[in-house]
Amino acid sequence: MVFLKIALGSLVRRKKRMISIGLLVFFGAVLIVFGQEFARSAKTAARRAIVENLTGDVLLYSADSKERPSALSWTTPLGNIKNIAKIREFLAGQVDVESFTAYAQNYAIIMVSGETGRPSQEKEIPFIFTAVEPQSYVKVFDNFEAKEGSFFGLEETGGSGTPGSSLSGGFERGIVVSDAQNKRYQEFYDVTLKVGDAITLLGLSEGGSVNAIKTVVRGIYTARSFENIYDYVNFMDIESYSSLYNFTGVDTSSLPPELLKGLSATSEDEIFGIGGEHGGASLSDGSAIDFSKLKTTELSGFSLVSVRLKDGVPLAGFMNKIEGEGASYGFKAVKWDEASGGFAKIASFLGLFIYGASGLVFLIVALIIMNTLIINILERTAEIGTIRAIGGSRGFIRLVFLTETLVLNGLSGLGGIAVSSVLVAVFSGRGISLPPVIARYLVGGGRLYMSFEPGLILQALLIIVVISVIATLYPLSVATRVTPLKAMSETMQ
Amino acid sequence: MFKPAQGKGWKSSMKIVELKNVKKTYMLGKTEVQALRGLSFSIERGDFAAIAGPSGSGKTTILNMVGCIDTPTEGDVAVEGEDVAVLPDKELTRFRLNKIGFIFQSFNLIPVLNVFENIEFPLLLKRDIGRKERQELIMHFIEEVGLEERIRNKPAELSGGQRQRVAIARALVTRPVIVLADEPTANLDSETGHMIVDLMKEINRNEKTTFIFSTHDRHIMEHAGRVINIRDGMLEERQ
Repeated sequence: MVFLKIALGSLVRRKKRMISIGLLVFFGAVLIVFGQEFARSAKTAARRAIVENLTGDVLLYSADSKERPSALSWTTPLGNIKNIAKIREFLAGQVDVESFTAYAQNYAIIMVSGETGRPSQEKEIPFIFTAVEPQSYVKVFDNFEAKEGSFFGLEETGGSGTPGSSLSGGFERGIVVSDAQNKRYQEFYDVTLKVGDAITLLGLSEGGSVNAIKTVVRGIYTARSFENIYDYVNFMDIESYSSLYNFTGVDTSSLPPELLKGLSATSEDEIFGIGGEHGGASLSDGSAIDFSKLKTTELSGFSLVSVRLKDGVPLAGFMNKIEGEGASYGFKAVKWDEASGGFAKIASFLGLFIYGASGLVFLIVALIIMNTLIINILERTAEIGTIRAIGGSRGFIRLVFLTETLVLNGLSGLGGIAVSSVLVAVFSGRGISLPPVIARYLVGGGRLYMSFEPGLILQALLIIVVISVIATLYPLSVATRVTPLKAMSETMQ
Repeated sequence: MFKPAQGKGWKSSMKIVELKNVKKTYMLGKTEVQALRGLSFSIERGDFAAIAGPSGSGKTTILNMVGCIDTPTEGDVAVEGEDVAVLPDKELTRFRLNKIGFIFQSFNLIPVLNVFENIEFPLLLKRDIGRKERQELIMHFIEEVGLEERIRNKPAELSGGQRQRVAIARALVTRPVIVLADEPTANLDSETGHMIVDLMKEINRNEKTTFIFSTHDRHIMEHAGRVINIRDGMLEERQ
């Protein structure tokens, strides 16, 4: 073990220089372990925030849609999902599915009187909304804090309905308005909506007709996460939405042919000619429409279905499973990250940035180690020459210098890993307070709670060893080229 | 228990070193320097021989050839009957470890090892004797050079004379057939220098080890059994 004695002794003898290398390796190890833990925790938190607040694990959308869905689909409205009843049945039969909810994203106009209430001051204000089944929606997304009123009369966010349940009552029809949006209404339109306000909603249906419904403001909410998105987003219950956009819930195949003709009418004459002189709910032959013969169908108008999976269910496996079925049910599916509108990429980019920064630090560390070792070798040529002269092999010289590097870098690296581990432990309990803007885009807002991944320690150690060995290769070749002649010609330092 | 070198590896031939028409040329920048110009001589086993001459005469080059740390441009160098000029690096390293001891002008002790460890070092490289025998051997030579009180001291804590004693013990501990000393007294005051040469001579007498040392000090030369005078890379021998 004389090589170890010489290596350790030499490290101590040149301690100032070695400490500076050690500090760099220490910093590199901190960057690897803490930086990667930070990036990994941010990625995990971002995924959780996106899945729980924006997309679910998987997002289903109409097979007819050309655009892909995203958390910001208002800008690219998607086609309606047909066969929603079959899709519900299909999802309810999947053992991997925890919950799901169908919804749509659209625009409308709120017609409202000004604060003074005089008709002359009636105003039209824009209304961006998500039309939801309140009970199933709050089972999938947990992002609402009622400031006033409630989320469609549900007692608390979380609701009392069954997961993915169809409309079975249990909620109050109306709209729920974002508090931030409401403030903007005040700022730009001098209108403040209050819980209980009666309003008129105007919607432009696919057929081009303008519909209006009267409804009520049920709640004012603030978002717990992704305020930057939800500040602009309001909610409408799906029944109101169906009324507003003519999603009637009547199976058109059960309508009398004359009525179907009227529905596809292009002129007023055709429309008013349906009932002939009898008009009203009767046909041209004078017979009344038999409502008992009309078939109801599942309310449509949904453009998205968010699906939450049970804990531990592999996403890729579930995607493979449902993508094959999608064609027969008329849906396509995307994973949460593809549907997050770029939010998932922020955490991935952060991870890449930290990898890049770690790589850069270690490149610098490697160059400094290389440079310092070469200086050491030049200072120690007489010593190396002497060892070679008295019978030390090139292998022995290699062993001494490699040991020096590995001991120094190993100890410094372990120090860095230990400090990082303590920091991660502290921040896993306390959380890191990020600047609000970064927090909102990275993890939806709030503190970032770190978690510990032991595999990263092994990864960091492996990187340190590999970098040390690589950084030592060239100096070693210089050291082993020192001839015994140097013992005769050089003076020992 | 330590046994003197005489009993081991003693061959019938008395010539331990033989140089035949050795030439050495090397480049100093763009200038070709002829360090040795066709040198031939031999040294007998057990000799206490000095290679003398002014600076630049080629003394150290001769020691480098005999010590297997340099090779001639032309000619043959045989050490203990082995043509060392043709041996590959690995063989030369082993040859040096087993057959040759070095004493350097600047002592060249390993700075991070203490006296005991410095002397032990070549034995650890050889790895052919056990711990107990190794310790006995080291202690024998520490006593021989009179450093019993300094066993745990590092080189930096020793005087020049003491360092050279450690170097002598280190050179002898592997029981080499030849000890080469390159101006061993050059960095010592004259009194210490004489003491070191006396010590080397005593060991030569006791251990029957061949000593070849270079010097340009006339007083040191007087101690030598044989002096090989070199001038401009040529031999100028006198008994």
